[in-house]
Amino acid sequence: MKALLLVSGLGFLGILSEILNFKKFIYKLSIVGLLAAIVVTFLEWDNPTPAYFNNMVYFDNLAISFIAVLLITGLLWFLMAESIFENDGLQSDKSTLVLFSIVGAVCMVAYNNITMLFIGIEILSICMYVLAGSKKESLGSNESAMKYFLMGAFATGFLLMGIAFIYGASASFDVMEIKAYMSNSPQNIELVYTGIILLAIGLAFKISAVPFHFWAPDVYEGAPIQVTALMSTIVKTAAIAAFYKLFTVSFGSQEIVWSTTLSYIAALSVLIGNIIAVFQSNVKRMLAYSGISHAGYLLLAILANNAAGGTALTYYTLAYSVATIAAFTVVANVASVKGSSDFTSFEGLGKKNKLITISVIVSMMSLAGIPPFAGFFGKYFLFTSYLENHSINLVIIGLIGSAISIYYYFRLIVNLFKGESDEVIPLSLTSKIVLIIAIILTVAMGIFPEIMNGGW
Amino acid sequence: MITTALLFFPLVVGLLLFLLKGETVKKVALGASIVEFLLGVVAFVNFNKGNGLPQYELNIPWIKSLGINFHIGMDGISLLLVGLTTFLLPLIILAANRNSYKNPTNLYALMLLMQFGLIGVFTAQDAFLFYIFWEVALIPIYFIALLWGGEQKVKITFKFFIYTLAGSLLMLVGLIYVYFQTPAPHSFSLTSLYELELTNGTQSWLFWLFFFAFAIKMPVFPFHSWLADTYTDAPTPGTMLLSGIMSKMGVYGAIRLLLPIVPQGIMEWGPLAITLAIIGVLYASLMAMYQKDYKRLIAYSSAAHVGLIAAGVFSLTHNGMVGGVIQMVAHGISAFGLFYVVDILVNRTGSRDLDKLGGIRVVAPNYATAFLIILLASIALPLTSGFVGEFLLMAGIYEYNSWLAFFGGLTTILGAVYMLKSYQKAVLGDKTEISDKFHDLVLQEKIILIPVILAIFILGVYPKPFIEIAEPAVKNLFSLMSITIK
Repeated sequence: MKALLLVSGLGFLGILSEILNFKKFIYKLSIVGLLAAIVVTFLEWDNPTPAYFNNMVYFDNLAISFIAVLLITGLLWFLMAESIFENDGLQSDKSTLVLFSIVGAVCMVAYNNITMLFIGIEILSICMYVLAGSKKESLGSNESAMKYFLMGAFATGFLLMGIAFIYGASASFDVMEIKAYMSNSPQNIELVYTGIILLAIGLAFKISAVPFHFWAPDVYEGAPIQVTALMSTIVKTAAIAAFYKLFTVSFGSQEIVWSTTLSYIAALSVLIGNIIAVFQSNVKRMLAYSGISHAGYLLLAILANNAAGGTALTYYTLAYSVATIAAFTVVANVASVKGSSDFTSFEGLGKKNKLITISVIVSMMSLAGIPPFAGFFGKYFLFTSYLENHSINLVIIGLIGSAISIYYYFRLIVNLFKGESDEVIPLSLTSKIVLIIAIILTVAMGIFPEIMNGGW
Repeated sequence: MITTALLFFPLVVGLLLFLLKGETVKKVALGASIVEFLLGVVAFVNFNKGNGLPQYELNIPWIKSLGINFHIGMDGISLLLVGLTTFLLPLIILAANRNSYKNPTNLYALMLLMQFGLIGVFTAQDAFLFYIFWEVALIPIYFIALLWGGEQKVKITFKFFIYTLAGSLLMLVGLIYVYFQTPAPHSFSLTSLYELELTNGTQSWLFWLFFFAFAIKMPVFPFHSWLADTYTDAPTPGTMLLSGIMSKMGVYGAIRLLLPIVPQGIMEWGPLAITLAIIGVLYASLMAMYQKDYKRLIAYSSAAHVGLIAAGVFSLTHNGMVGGVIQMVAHGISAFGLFYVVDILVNRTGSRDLDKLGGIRVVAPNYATAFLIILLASIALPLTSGFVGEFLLMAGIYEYNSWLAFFGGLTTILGAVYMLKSYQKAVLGDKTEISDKFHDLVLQEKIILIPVILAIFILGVYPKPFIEIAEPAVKNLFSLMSITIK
């Protein structure tokens, strides 16, 4: 709760900095503020009174884990994105938008009332629409913002409709009351079913799962690369956490309604995301499609419909976000020197760029799910939580997807050692810090996989 | 305690090496591998030979919620393979020393990390841990082959990686399945997996999940297609690691997981597996006969030997199993020796083409003798290391089926043919222009070859202590499989 207030306060500070003219400090202030927010979040572990604002938000340990994931990702993001906070007169706008999007994300993981979920999604999304278009002079950025906005607006429509239907049936917005309503053979069953499916569609848009993924590659490619990193980490984490809470808590007893649909969505996301990623020549697009396939894996935690799924989800989102941020840091730096983020830009960089090479190897292997890196345990936890009460079919599809994904993740690694090049990619201090933290986290999470069970 | 030291020492040194530069790297790597070897010797000396159960155990909880323990320890089979690893690594490092590889720091560090992974595989007493190390061992060798390999390296290493990883993913599915069959709270510990009584139908398909992983690693026909290219294209230290130690991982996995967990599956599919192994043996031997590239020839001969080991293990006879374990050690040593002498040949003459070589014995008698001894060990001449293992293997396969033993036995003859023929072509003969480029062994080469030759003779003349170490573990294995020893 304190973290929510703190980050909101930071956001307002960003607006004030415009008026009171301390813009040049706002970048450093945001980093310090986020660090403080992380500390405050950990202090709230095992909170005895988790409900706030008349049960609108609820900070139990699961929510706190997700908030920690979001804030750590946010902090790493601020470090990697230093270059967009250069003194162009807009830095306070950008930092405010990012901080508010984190606020929206925190609302989405800690909501206890579907209206709060909706508010969270909108806070997050509107900030992201603006950020996607923040490179005003670039055509791609404009296209990206427009597409994102249109698609996002559709998704919002579905969500709102779904919320209305659920409210119509259960006469409540409260997650727990809806749960109670669902467990006792609900009346108005057709309203409930329609509402659940509409909500599933709306949220599947947000996590860019197949077949609601068409916006993702174009939006990712067009948006400024740092914003893409934000979209593929924080947005995805928040959306899947919200998805998990709504479906396993509120609709958990109605599993029969949504499990088949979501199983197909998960299987298709894993397969289509991975297969199309193989054919990409641009690393940003490759990461977009890999993000789609990861959405499929994440859905397994919801399908598992048990507590282990939630823990697995926190672990997986952290592992995925850290590796993705590292990958985007490298891509951003390489693209700024080479002018493009195609695979060919990476050729021969393995010679003289030690940190970049190690980061690419570690993050790609983690994303591909190769032990002993964090990504492997993420997938492993997801699969076992799903297998606790389900058959093995989807897991086999997941493993086939993993095997395919090795092809394109390793393609990036192999490219580093292809050809001869003595080029050195200069890294700023903050980029170096991000990469080192990401490597350490990815390896440490592999060695101490219980970190998300309070096993530290 | 000693297992822990054996496991983590190479990891720590390997990681430290990344921070060092220049000549010190080689010295530190070599020193560390010798210390590791001495640790291995200590483990040998203190080992309780009568006991077939794992010794020197360490068992601490790792992922409590999933019943995964960090459980390591060594029984006789593990000990012999760990011994092989610690014995070969200093020699491989010393052998790599001569070739001037660019970025040697990374090469030596990766070799030590590889040792960490291999020892992890051979000592893991928890199936999940086994899987982790199985993959961890793959990563360094992939990069060794990718960074220092030949012209086709990108394509070939990729094929190798995808092949082996696909196999291990299947094993992972199998492991997760058996994990859920253990009584709650589920556990991955090998003992609890051994206690499972799975139905025959289940064992029948589980067998394949495990078999694919191990068959690809060995490799057994028809999963061998990555082998020749990878062995040939990898830098020599990589090839030595691959054929000397890593090819044993597949057999070891079969002994450790496949046999005790799905004994009924073996009863059902064993005949097919053993036939595949024998086909592979013949195929590889025939391929070896027609190779012009010396490194490729040895790659195929290595595949033939490992195929025979697999056949012996799947024969489920006492002799076949003990022979398999002994032969794993013997083959590791002779494969290293062969790749090393050929590496010397290639380095001095610049050619691996058999047709272009010849007339070396005239100028380098010591080299020719050392080569001959290693070669004879490889074709299993009595009193050399290859004989004991191969004899027991053949005996085991014969007890199982005399026809298979006949075809398997052909490999010994074929092996003698292509090995001696190649030796004749490359080393014997009159003085040629090649001879002028050649000079006899230098000190460093002698330092490497003498331990190899000593090991060949010790194993060949007095294999008793090694057999005594292997036997209780093999007996324990059979009692786990709850079938009578033939």
